[in-house]
Amino acid sequence: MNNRLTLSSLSKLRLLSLDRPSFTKLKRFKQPIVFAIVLLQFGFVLPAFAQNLSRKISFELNNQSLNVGLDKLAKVSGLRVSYLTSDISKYNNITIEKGTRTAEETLKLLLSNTTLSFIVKDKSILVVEKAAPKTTPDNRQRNVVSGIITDSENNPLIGVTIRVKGENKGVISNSKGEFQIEAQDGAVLALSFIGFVPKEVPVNGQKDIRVSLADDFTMLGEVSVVSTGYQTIPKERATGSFSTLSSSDLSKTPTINLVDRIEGQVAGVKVTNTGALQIRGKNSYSTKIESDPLVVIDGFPYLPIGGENVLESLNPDDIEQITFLKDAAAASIWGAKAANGVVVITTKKGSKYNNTSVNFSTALTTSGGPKLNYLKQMTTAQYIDLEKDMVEKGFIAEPTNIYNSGLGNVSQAETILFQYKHGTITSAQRDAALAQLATINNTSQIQDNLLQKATTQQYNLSLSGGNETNTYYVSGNYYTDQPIYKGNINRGYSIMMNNTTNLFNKRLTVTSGLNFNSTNDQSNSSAMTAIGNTNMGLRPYDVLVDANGNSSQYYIRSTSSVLKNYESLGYLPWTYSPVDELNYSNTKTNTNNARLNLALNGKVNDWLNLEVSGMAERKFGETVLYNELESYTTRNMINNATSIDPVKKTLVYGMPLGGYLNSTYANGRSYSLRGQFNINKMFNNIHRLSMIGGAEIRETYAKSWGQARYGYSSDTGTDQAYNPTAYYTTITGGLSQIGYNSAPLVETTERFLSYYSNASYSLKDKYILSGSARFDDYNLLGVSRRKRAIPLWSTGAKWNLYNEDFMKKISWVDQLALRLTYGFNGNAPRNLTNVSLITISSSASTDTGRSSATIDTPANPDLGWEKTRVVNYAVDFSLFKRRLSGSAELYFKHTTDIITSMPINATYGFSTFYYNTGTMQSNGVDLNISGLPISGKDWSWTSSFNFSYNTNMISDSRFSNITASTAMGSSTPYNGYPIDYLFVYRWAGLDNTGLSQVYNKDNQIVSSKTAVTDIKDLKYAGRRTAPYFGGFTNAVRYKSFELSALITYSFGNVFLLPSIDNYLAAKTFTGFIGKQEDLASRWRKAGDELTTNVPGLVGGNYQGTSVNRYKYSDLLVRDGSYIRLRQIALSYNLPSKMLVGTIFRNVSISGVVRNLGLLWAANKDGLDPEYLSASTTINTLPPSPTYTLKLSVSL
Amino acid sequence: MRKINKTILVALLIISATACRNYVEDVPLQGVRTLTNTSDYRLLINKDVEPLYTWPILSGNDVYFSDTTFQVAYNSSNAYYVPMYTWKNVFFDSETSDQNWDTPYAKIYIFNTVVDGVMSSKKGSDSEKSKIMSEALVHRAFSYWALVNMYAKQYDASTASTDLGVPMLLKPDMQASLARATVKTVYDQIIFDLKLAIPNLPPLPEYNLYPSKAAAYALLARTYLFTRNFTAAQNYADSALAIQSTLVNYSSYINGSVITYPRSIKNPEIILSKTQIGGFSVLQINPEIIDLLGTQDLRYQLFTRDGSQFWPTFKGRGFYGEQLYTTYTDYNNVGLTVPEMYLIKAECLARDNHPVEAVSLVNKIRQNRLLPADYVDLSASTMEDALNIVIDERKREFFGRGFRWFDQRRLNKDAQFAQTVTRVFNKVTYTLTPNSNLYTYPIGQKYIIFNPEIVPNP
Repeated sequence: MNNRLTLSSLSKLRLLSLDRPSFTKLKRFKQPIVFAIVLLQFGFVLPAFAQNLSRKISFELNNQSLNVGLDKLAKVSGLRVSYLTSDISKYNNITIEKGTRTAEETLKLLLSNTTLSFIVKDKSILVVEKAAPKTTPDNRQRNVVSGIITDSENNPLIGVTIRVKGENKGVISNSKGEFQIEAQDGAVLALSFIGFVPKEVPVNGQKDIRVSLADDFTMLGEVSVVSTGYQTIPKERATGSFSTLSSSDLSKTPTINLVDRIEGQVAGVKVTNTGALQIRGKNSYSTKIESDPLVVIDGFPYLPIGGENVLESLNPDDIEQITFLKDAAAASIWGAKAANGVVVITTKKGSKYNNTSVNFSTALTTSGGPKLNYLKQMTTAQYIDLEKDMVEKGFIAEPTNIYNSGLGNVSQAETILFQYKHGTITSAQRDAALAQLATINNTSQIQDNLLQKATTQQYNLSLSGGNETNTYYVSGNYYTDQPIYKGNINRGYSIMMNNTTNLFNKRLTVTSGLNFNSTNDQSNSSAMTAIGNTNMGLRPYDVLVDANGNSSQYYIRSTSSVLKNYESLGYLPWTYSPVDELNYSNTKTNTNNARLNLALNGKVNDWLNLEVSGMAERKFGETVLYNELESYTTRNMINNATSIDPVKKTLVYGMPLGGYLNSTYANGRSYSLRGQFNINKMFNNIHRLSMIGGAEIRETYAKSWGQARYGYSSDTGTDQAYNPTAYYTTITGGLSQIGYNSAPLVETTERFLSYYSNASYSLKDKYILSGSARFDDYNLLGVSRRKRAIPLWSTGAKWNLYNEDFMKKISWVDQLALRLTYGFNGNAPRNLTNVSLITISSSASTDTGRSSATIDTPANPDLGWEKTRVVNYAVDFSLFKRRLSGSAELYFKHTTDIITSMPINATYGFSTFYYNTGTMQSNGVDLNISGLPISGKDWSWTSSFNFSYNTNMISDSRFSNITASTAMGSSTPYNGYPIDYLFVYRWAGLDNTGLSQVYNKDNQIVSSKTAVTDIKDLKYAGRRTAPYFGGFTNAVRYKSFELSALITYSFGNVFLLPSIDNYLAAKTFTGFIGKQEDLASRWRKAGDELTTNVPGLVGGNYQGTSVNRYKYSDLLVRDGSYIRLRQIALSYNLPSKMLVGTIFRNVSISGVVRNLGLLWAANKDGLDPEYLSASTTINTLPPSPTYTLKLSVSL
Repeated sequence: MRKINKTILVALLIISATACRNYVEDVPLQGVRTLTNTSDYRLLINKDVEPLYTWPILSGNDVYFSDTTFQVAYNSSNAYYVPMYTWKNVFFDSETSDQNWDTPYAKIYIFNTVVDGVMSSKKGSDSEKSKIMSEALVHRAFSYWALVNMYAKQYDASTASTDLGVPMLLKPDMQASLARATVKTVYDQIIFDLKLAIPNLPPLPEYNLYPSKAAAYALLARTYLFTRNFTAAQNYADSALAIQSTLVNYSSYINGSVITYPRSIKNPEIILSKTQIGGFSVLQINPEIIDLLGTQDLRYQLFTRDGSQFWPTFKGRGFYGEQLYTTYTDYNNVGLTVPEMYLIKAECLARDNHPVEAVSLVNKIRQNRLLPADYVDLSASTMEDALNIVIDERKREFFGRGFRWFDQRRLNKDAQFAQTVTRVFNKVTYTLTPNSNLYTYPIGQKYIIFNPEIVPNP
């Protein structure tokens, strides 16, 4: 008989009415999940507390097992009874006649024909084997041995089973971790406890034993309970596709943003390069629906107001668990908004078994400097050479006046070239001046003056604790974040309070939560603008500060001579300096969000409870842009609006002379109210029914407005009145008006009304069937209820194969289950209705003073939801004593009724019209594997790997007719291709005039002078988003040290190499010439086409086509696959013995290095494919490595 | 305990009961504006109701590109316009939209929405609702007037009830049949709508962008003129003139080199402002018109410029419309004006054999178009002479605005005016015989592909 209480034998152990305080430690222990499952499995079934053994109870048993009998006794008497299943499983067919007896008498009756006896200890009863009859007198001395059991961090462990090996007696440690047991000197004590490695301790004559149990790491990463937001389900009974992350998973990544902490951890969950989460790819190509997953916090959806990123506004340290609902069975309970998956977040709660525990942590992050040399740029000399080429060939016009604002920003080199053209300098002077410029490289000046090392500081303080009737969790968080661009800083803080109170002998539970968070961000675009390719960008020789340390000033609007002339007339200074601008034109964003949850849960009987819950939320945010009078933007704006009085020769200002302040405000509120019943009933020990049902209403209201002020001064806080419609004379003599620049007042209300139910039935915990249904109604204007309110449903089945008898023989399989689900998720259309929608113009007609409106969406009587049908096949397994576990899922999603803008006969008044008509197929695989190659007291190694594959295809023959130019735009659905397709020209080299050539569908070479319109002339290059991606985490622990590494990878997409940009693409060029290295190897003369592919500066009608075909040719298509070392972390927990006598219970220090770069990339151009923006902006820098030092202590 | 259970049950019931369908149906402030209040409909017809047509401006023989260099340049820079100029029977390929078809129909959807819904809108008085509906009716009638005069044969009483007109949509319905109504049906609807509108319109509008009684009368006059019901045309021209008859002496707009010709919205001669769709940068005026005009005519001084002032440049005189006078982007007026009413009345009088009265009306206009020193009375004694004088004056008054094309179409029914027109463009000679099918614009292939019930023009 194996008395070792290993994890795999966990299910054999039934701890009835287990002494709850025994789980105290688990809260701080690394497995909150274990804590949760124990609570869930045992917590609500047998809640009552120990009663007097002499209490009279009515009891009967009819030919049932002892197991059932003891359960029933515990239930009826409220006693806590513990036993080992292995001890009692052989006793069946027990009958006790109905009668009223004391609990003790009943217990004795139950055990009357067994070899079992019971021990009463600390208000609980332990059923054990009677001592074996002594055949020989025991000469050894029997002593009472007492002791204390702790975990590795010296915290007392409560509820540990202590048995004398070879004997059938046992005790349980008390609330101080203490125990007393009678044992001989030579006896061996066997200690066992869930979540810890069992241990055997020889008595050896000791009277007082101090034992510490080691954490059982086999349980790490093993998630045992999932949350749908409406209920929690034991993982072993969940049919749907759920993935979870625990607070310990999240705490390994020290970033401020929650999304970064999720990256690479969960199969099927992708973090897009815009920082959004995407669960199992896209389901729709419609622009009229939400594309983000629904985020649910503590049971209620968190609806973003004004485009905020919900996940970014949460304090990651307050999160207990995140559950990702991926398939229909998991998500369809959320109905209309669940098509993109659901992210269910549970925040931390206090523990009722704990005295107050205080946790404090701080993390300090700094980064390496940004690497500007990542941007492959021409040398200064090469750049000047290109400018010279452009000027000499006449592609650049010199702005000799102010009239053509598009011409501005003549560079230093161009100025010199124009001076030579005008004959004011000789060619020798020109060459000398250019040579002098060519010696300058401003890279280090940009690094020093505009960029900085990113730094981040985070502070977290939390208090939690509780007792039998009340638990609490209070936390506060503060962070500052300074990115690499100077002039930018983000700050924020949050407060969270969660409270649970039990009333009326636990018949009623009141749960409340209060959360407030606030962010303060300041952004300044000067640094990014300076690196960028706009008119305000810096050429390689443009220095930021001169030799004396003064900031360099540049003229941008026109040439310096023209602008200096205006300055001499009294116009405001018209120079621009990126360094000075760091102090001006800041945008300050402040957001505040308060959220309150309240839930009442009343227990009707032991299998039914009713719950009423609600959530209310308020938000207030403002964004203020202040362009000071000193800022370039304001000076430029006012100068452009300034004219000279023809008579008085004085300046006439068309705009108030002062700063410009533009504030926009977003205000919102949201509430939900829900009534729900929960049924959890077991019949005859083999049928288990779990069911919820309820109704809820939800409203989200958002309001935004803005105000533009002119002549504003922050010193006095005053602004000047102006007439937005009055015409003023501009600097060029034209007429203009200030206009209405205040953001209009917009109010929106969204309401949902839903009825929902979810039920699962399990037979012997082997066969599980589940179903959910939801009826959602939504305020879609004018849409008939039949179309508007739809039932969404799902069903699922699970076979827990490992519970079958025939599997018991296969000892290396711990767990094996098969799952199959099928169902529908919905997606509600946005801003589409069955009645015509109008847009009121923001300003009145200047002629009539009247407002006007247009119909922007014509009425569509047949409008409805998009529906996604999901089939999910899955297998879950755990092998070799949980050394290897994981799951594999295969899914097929088919979306129908995609709201698609289809062309219609314009005779009807509109040339396109939205119908529920599109279809799309999207399939994929999610794979998670966790391994525990080494598990020991000192050493352990855990490893987890996840892999995701997602593909999609448009299957709609109406999208078959697509032209080459439409496909290049690549946002139009194309039958038979994924929605993120990339089509490119087939490069055929340059011709001997420097123009691009491509192949057409017949493999003929087509010059830039010939149009290419047929899609068949293009080549399908691949998908732009990676179909294969995932992460690989390894953690090695040695005693108190743990070293972990996260590797992420992404395969199978393509990207276009950003080769040339801001290059002559028309007959003339204005503005800023690109700096990319490839421009230096441009075609210059006939014959160059043999050695280069970069189109030449030839001008004429076909230059634009030529450049465009090169930029979008297969020549520049690269494989986007990469493997990245995302993070390495080393942590150290101070050994508990070092903390003895201090106030600290736990101290840990960790160092984390993130963004270490690519381990491997398919492209050999040195580019990081993850950090190429969708546009051709070349100046996207990959993040620099960051270094974090984190300290956390608990008291 | 039971009490609590009951309390919770009651709470649940209350929630379920309140969570009824009204919760999602009566939702205020949904961030979208729907047409609910009368004022919403008012906003709708305040917007962009002016654009009417463009192609007829190119097709009429008041415009003529004689310069061969110009023709080459124009062919490459404005190839879009060439089919209308050369009277092709196909304007666009099957992918391209016809702006002159799309734009009026897009407006018609708006007008139909207003006509359909305004009377049942909220928070408006009945008179305001009727007024808004009547404005929409006039606008809709005008849109159909333009469409039927471009894409269908000119009105001929003997065939109008079988000649194919244009699809006639009178409700905002995306599913309706687009079969072409007959020319007569379209004209009847135009007349019906205008007559329906008149009682509820103000005599004169606040701005000439908005229809008035004068505008409805004026459009009726024009419509009857085009159906050759000259009696009715004259009566309605009279009715319009009874309300608005101001003529402005153009000399007051020329002060040396400074030109103060008013913007359309302030032009007292405009009864209802409509504009061409988009603007031209260059239109050469047929030298015949220039000859007819004479250099002393103030219209020559105001509305023509030497070809060197355009791009591409050309030899000759170009049309210099409203948009080039001011800093405003006004497009050329093609709406209803007081001089048009005088000329309609004059034509009707002439045709009714009142040559003296007819010519006196023409002279009334000419007195305002010439400096007193240059002015000479015209006179006619016969019906033909009078009619010639009236039609010539129409050429002078309306050149560059598409009126000539519409006149050519309808005057083909008069032996006196029916004449073959030719033009040479890039060395190809194009000929347009009276009553040719080419006087009827082709309906875009795109629309026929979408809805084959639209029968193409021959």
